[in-house]
Amino acid sequence: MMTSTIAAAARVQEPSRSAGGAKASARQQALFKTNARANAGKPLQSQPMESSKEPPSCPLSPSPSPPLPLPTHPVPALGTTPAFELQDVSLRYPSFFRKGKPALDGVSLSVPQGAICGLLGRNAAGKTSLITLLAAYRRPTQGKVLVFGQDPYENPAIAPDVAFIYTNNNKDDLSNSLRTKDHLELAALLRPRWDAVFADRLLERFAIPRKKTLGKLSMGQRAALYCTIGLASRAPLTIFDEAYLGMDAIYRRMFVDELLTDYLSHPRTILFSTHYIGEMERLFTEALIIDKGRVLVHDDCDNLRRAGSSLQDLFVDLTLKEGESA
Amino acid sequence: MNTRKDRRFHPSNNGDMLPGEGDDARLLMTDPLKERGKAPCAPQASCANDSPLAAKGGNRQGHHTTRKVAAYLNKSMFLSTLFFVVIYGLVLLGVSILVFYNTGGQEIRLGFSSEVAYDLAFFGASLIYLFVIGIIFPLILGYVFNYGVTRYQFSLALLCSGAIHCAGLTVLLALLAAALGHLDAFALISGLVSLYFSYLLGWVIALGFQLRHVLTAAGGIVMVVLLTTSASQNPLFGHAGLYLFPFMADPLINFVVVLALTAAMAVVLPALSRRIPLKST
Repeated sequence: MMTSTIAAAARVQEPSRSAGGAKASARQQALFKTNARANAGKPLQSQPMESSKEPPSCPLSPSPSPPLPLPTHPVPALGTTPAFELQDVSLRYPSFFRKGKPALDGVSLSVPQGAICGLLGRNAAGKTSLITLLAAYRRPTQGKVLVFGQDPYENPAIAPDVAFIYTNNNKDDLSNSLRTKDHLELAALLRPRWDAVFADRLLERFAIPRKKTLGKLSMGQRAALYCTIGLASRAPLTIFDEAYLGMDAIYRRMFVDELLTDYLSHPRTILFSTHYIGEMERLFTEALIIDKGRVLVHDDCDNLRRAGSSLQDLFVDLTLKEGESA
Repeated sequence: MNTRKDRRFHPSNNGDMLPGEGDDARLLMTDPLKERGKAPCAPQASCANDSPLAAKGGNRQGHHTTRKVAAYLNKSMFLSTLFFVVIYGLVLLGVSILVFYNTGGQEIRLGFSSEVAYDLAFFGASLIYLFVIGIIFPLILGYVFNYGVTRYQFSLALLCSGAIHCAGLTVLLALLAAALGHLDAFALISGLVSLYFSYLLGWVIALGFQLRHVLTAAGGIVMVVLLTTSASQNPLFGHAGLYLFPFMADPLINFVVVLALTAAMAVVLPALSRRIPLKST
């Protein structure tokens, strides 16, 4: 609950979507400050995430996480415009012979700035299709996509503000011949908020060699490099699409720790597409469950948890098909 | 219940000091995030929403990005050209030595006559090289796009760096032509345009693949065939086009046609590049 509360507190000053938003915001901020004071100076891993029964942090971690820099001030408002918004969006992949099924079908949603949103869905549910629209990889067949209030497609004002991080395991990709440091140099050149010191620290933590080419890195190291670029870019909308695929449990834990620590000092909107629901659900302030190109659930995680079941159970209940067993 | 400490940080406080509060509180009220070098990652787009002036700032940022990408592409192209020149130089040296020994030492200059050496070994090779570069470099769009560059910015950068690269190769060719005693100003200018034309032709093929449409790709190939036959007076494409376009035998007409086609491609290619669908895996 703690992490969810921290993340939720980043949105305390923005007008809430509901009528009682102001009241809710005040409650969140008060809760946030209480937590901040109570946990001042303690490292993240020593804090119980949800209850005292929570397992302690992994003792095998190669280097302990730095203490969580708990803020002694209110987290500032990030803006009133939604971070991204989809209005009746449909997407079909063009095919020469047939029309094909829609990857997205009439999707409408809005996510505020500062949220950490979990995008959940089964294989081929339309998660990556939705993300590619936000990252301007393609245009929707129908409907409107807005990122920070503007159409992101070929928009030079939006492009530097969106970081889409995924692990590219295509062996034939030209980027495989570039060294780690080349990738970082390009990110430093083109990402306006690039933090080189932070990137160096992450490289050290994940033990990624600088002089090896991307093609020679292991799958986990490659994933760690992409995550490093995603975190150090500090883009106002950062999208992780199974970016940590291939990373071991310790590295995943380290990644989440680093993300949370950095999120507190540099709040931004993060969209997570993941199949590791149990592992990541504490991170989310909002959950978005899609199936067959349609949104099944989009709500605040606290509301969903209040209903009684965990996000994972809810996900299984909603998406389990007839004849399948979880 | 609000304590004094709580009210100090409350957003509704507006910086007003509570009685008895000290300087430390005043310090914290003056945007503590900036004091500590930490700031939320506010999007540029929200500024662009608010005022047209800020939107202009966004465009400036766009030009800045194009320049940066062009610099990056120039560096990469320069390195690949260096690689090509060294390898190609070694190959030519090998051929020269072979010819030298096979002719009993009668041919001492590269194994070719100076005219053939320039037209085929230098100019022709440069055309083929730029044609290949023209195919390869547009394909890195997906990679650069991931770092917050639009397709159009990338295309403009590709146009600029290609032009710079062609100009650099023309200077190199001019030096070689002078060394071989074939320096001709018109031939150099015509050569520069032909090099750029060749580079853009490679890009047409790459674009055909990137647009991922059978008809587009087929159209691209047909266009390349037509363009190459139009520009029939260069050593790369031979003289086959003269049968279709006899008027192209005149060097001046040929130059004007190639120049017009090059200009047309330079306008059309970036515009078409905006429609490239990208894939994340």
